[in-house]
Amino acid sequence: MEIEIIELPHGFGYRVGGVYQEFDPEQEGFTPMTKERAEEMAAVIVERLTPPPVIIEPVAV
Amino acid sequence: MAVNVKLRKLLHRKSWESVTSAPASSAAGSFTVSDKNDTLSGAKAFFVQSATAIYMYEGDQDAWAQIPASGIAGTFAAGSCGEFRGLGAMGGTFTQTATAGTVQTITTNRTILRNLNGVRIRVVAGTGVGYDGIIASNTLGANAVLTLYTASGVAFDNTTQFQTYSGSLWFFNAGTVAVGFSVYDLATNAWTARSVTGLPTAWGTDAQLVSTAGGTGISYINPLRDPVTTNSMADLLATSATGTTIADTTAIWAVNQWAYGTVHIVGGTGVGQSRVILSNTADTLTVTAAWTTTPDTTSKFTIRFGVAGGIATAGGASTLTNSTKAWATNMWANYQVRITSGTGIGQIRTIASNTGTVLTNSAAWTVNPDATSTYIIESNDDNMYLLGNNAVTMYKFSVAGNTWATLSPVAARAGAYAAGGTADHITECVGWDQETAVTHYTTVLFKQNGRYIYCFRGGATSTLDVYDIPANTWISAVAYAYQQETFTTGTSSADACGFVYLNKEATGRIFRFDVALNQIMPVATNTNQSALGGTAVVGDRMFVLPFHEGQTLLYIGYVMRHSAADMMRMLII
Repeated sequence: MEIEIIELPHGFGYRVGGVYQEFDPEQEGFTPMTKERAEEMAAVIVERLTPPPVIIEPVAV
Repeated sequence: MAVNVKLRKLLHRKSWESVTSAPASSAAGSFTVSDKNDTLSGAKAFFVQSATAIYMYEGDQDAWAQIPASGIAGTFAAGSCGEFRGLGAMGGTFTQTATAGTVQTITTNRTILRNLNGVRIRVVAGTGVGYDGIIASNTLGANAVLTLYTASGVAFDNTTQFQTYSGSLWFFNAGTVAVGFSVYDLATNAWTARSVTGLPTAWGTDAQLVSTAGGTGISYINPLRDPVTTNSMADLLATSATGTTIADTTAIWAVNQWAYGTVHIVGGTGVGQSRVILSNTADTLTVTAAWTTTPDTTSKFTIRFGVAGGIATAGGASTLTNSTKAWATNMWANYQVRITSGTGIGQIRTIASNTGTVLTNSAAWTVNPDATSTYIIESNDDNMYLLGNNAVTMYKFSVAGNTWATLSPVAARAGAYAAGGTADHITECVGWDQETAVTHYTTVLFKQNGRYIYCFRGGATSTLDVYDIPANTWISAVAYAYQQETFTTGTSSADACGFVYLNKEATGRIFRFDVALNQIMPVATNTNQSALGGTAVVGDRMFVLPFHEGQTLLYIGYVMRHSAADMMRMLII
């Protein structure tokens, strides 16, 4: 899943799938993110949006 | 046009009918919300089946479409809940700042992905403050430019702060070690996470999220209470107009009931204009300032009114005075006041307190109002309330601040919000537009729209608790007529026109609590539900949608079968 890190006047944001975030999602108010923080939070979104793998187990005949 | 209901009671039985099933089955925590105030076209609703499976329902089409997955924190389960607001939330907030503009365009820093033609826009601060119009078109993609139907008197610029009624879906997610809160903005098709600081890290059982956003919808005489003699305000068609009037000869308004409300031309000649109403007769509105383009018989219009309105007699740094009033002390606390014309036009402030004649805001005006300033008092756009988690505690969210506050009510709720609990903000009771303290229930409840959140406690009880927003206090265990039915896991609710509709668990039995009459009554049983069964699961899956039949506004109630995808609807009359 593609991560887009966006440079903003106040810091950095990200877009992952249908999620767009300009300020730190884990802070109240409007806390800017550094580039590293944006990348860290974007990776969390990737994990949430990625469906779990489907494991097909063979059946003994 | 009046609604002429020709069903003969008892002879013609009201019945629920099946509509298109949802794309996925309801499960514990799944919920529905709707554009009850008719902000957007198409009669929209939303079904949140999980954190990733979220669907939009188009009532006009009776069809569903999936929208992007939320990426929300927390674990979807019992306790998940949500709300729809008419105000958009691009980037997670409802006030945007332009980057540039002209007299008829506003340049945004937003990536707008749909045509916003017909969407209401208002400027709340900065250059052009007080502008209240309609978007004619916009560019699509990054840094979208909005073009307005009606030019402003000044060129918008990078100080212009505006709000659009483009719709947003708010989603609170349950969890055991973390919860989540995110908003989906319809214009940008994007989710943005919001703060959960100050909230419990474990949240379950059942819950409700209630927005008190005011001034977002149409105003009307209650079509559900007296459909024969009342009429709807939905997209009225002008029968005549002059430089300072607009009329609909089919109307039957009370004299001056719309005084200091606002009239908006939403289609036809003069589209995009809005004016403060000075006075009205049974069928004619007189506005405070002449039309730029005089409406004609092609002009469609709508009227918006808060809970109260008037013209100031004076204003101060944080105050607005109307010396003709005799308000009850602090009856307007936590409402908002909006200057609709004259000095200070466009400003919106939360009311912190009031005396008999003076409103005191929680923040200073940018421009003090004066004796030329008309105003509206309405429910607060900024607040949402979260209750549930098998607890009495309620939390209040500020959209503008992205902060939660734990409420410390004067009187705590006597019992916890349990499974099957409900919460509905009551705004539309006929006659509840008093500006003095007119008692409704003993000496503790007053006839005042927008003041209360009515909450059935659930937990297999019939208990009704009422939260008083201005007074920040609970009135617990309000007795009501015919009180006996209990509500528990699976009970859903939806409110419209001063009624709270209740879908009792998986029984198919529907009730209607009449706030003004303080009584609960049965409504046509959903025999589909009772026949098909389904294991009752927690979550609010009842909603209402407004439909326009010509100039008449009708409401249709919807319910979803438990642990299944079946949907049913009924005309609410």
